[in-house]
Amino acid sequence: MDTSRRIPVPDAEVGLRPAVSLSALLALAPASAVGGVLEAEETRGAQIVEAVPEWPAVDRVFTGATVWTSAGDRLTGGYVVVQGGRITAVGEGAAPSIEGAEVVSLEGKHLTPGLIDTHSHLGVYAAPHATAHGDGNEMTAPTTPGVWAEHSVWPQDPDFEHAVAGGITALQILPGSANLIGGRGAVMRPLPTLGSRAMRFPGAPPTVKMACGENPKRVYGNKHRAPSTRMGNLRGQRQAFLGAEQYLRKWKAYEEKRGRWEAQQDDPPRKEKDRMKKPDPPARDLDKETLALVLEGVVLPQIHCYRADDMLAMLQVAKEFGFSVRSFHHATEAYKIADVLAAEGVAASVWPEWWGFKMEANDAIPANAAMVAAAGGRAVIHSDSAITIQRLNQEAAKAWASGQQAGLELTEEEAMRWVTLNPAWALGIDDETGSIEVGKRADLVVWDGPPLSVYSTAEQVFIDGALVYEPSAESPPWSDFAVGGEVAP
Amino acid sequence: MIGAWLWWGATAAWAACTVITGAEVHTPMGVQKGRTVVLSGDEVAAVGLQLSGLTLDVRGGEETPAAAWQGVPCEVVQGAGKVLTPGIVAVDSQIGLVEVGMEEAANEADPHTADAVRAALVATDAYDPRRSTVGVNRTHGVTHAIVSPGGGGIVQGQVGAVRLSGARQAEVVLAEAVAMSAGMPSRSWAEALRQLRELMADVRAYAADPAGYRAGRLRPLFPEASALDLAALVPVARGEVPVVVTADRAAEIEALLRVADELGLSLVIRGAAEGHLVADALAEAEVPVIVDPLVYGPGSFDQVHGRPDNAALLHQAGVSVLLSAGSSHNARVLRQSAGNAVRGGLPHAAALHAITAEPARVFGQKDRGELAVGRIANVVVWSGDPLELTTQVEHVIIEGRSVGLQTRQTELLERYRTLPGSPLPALPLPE
Repeated sequence: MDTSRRIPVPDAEVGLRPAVSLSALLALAPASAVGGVLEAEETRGAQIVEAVPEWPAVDRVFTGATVWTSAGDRLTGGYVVVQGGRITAVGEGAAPSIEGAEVVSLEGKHLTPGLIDTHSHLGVYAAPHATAHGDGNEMTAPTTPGVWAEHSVWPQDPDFEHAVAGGITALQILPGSANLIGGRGAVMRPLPTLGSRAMRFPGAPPTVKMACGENPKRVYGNKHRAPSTRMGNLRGQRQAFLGAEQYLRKWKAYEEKRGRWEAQQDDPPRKEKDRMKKPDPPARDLDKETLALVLEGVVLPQIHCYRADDMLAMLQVAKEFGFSVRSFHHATEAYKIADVLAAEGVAASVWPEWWGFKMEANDAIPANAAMVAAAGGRAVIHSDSAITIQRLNQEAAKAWASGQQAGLELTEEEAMRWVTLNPAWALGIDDETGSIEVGKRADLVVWDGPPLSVYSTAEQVFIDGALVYEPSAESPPWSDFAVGGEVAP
Repeated sequence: MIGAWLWWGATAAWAACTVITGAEVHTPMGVQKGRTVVLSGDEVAAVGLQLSGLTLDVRGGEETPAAAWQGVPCEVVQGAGKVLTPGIVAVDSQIGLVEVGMEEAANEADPHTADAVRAALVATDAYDPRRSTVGVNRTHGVTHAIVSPGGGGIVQGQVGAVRLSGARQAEVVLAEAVAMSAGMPSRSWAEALRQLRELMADVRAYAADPAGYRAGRLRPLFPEASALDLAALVPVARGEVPVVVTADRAAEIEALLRVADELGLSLVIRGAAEGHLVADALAEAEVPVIVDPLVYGPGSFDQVHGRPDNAALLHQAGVSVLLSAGSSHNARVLRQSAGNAVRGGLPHAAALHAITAEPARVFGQKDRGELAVGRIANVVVWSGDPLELTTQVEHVIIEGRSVGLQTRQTELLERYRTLPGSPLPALPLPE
């Protein structure tokens, strides 16, 4: 075991592995050079300033576990080797001997990838519920793509530690759904840092939260302003992307001009009048920048949308402007268009059984996730709750059982992918986490029983191979809020 | 899925007698394996290994055997490998009152009135057996609900008991007033308790001289309460009908116990997130608590000292523990609540008790909530451990009758089982 209970810190900037370089970020596939330029502009505003300690890197060999890899079959008597915070070997049978590594026998235990939640408001609607903690919805305009959830996250939200206790190793914290375009999502790791920037999942692509249906039209309709209808919602979305297209055109024109100017610096024209003045870049606009990066394929759209017709309408908007929707969220009627979602490659982040709390949730069915999976789509079980994020494995179990009851023959391994590899894909971090495969970060959970059982508890949670949580009375709470409260005898 | 359709068909008919053979049966005396259960009329007639009075003709081999109980032919359910429990009793529930939570037109739980005292309101007057919440929860093993009115104010109204089968209020509402529901709307607990004391003092004044009240001879009584409300509160003031009060913080619970004792109220506390800190006082006062084991964390300032083993600690201290799921649409997660209470240290039998027999007892339904001879026949046949999430409900029997497992949700599923395709009938369109 680790001699200290020190907590790992983001490694992008310090420590074990080289910082994620700008070129690595750009490798996330901006469609054009302009996307890369805009993103580079943004990195100026995302520099980390807090001093972050390095954590003890303990190499480990886990042996004898039932290993749910999320990449294929379940391994019985499996081993997993962790070196330098990464998984370096996975297999069945005799584990390799690694010099200096601690051997952890997990006979009778289960080892899974860390659980990942695509939809959380931890930190932006922090516990305890207080008017001062309402940092999740910038309800001053229906489109606010320039705000970042990261700037609202309170790292001291005591529920981060409760989420880790349930096996969560990565989560997307989203703005609320009051706005058509609510702002950037924050793909994070639940870690006890002082600033929110340090919680960022290293190298995760940026995301944006959008919303359709009842919420935006209710919030702004009640203020007697647009949108107050579904058609108003669509106009708002399209108008915002038209503005982004124009913004992108300006930057492309500038880039083209700058390219010509740079060429002249190497080979100046002979005549003075042919020499170009160094072009000025266009004024940056944070709102348009986010959407321009959606159009460039850098920012992954995460769209709160319940009804089948609302999702189809948003896919129509995506086709109009040439972007891809990464995941619909809540998607209570995903089962009605499961074939379309599979064909379009859109993940459906859903609850196992929430329904009926509003009209657009009226047709939700508990076999929703299973229907999506059976149609060949990517099902994800999300929480949208500070309570259910504590037991996302149980939520997956319920959704799987509902599929069984409906006669859909899906494996338990598939159900585990709904809370591991599939959410990792929806957040664009599936190359780094979400399954137990060589080369990935060692984000792992040791369970005292089968992970889909109501009785199973996470005994140890590892992020980047460091032990970040095990139930232990001696361990001080992560959150300053949880300190105190003792009474004198 | 043809199998599933046959299954519904096979269980939808009502038999005067049902025999379930060789199952694991959860009885008040403990878990008994390989038992046969006979349900006759609306009662549990027998539970045992060898039952005199039962003839079981197994000559059919693989076929379902024919059976008769005291000469009456019975429907037979093969119970081998199955688990039988009493039906789940959902407490603090708005099943049957709500269809769509956020739509006023489809939510009867909140009366949307400014009246702060509505003791004369009878929640079951709004109970609608056709609401989707009834069928969906029923097919997940919830057979009864203790229905509470919602909305703000000091007193929300009368809590009733219903069964989740049957088509007419006259048959499904078992009792209209098993308790009174009280909210404590004031931000200040001291002020909330002052209002409770004042209201109860006025109820006593009214009870001592109703004619004087009507003749206007009494000082002005609680301004929000009508004569009907005051009359409805008389049995509460006398401690004959329990009052359900929401309180989470330990200090609130202590003060509430003291005031209830002073006023002679019979109390049930819902919430009790910090109940474990005053478990001894709750046990001493014999006050039942309704807790939700899924809710853990300082969601509010009143839950800061909550613990995931709250239910277990309360049970250990001898407190009567009832579990709630905090939701009407998803009362079906009650067994997940119970499973998590077990994960937190509550014994399995106590967890099952806390969603069946104990709520039935506390809310005046002693003939229900137990699988024992002479009790009313409310039985769920499970494919395995009822608290495990992957276990399926196979049969639900309410008051002796087997109910189907079809709901609005299963029908929606069937409409979209095959994609692409429209569930709507093909229309003849012109060429």
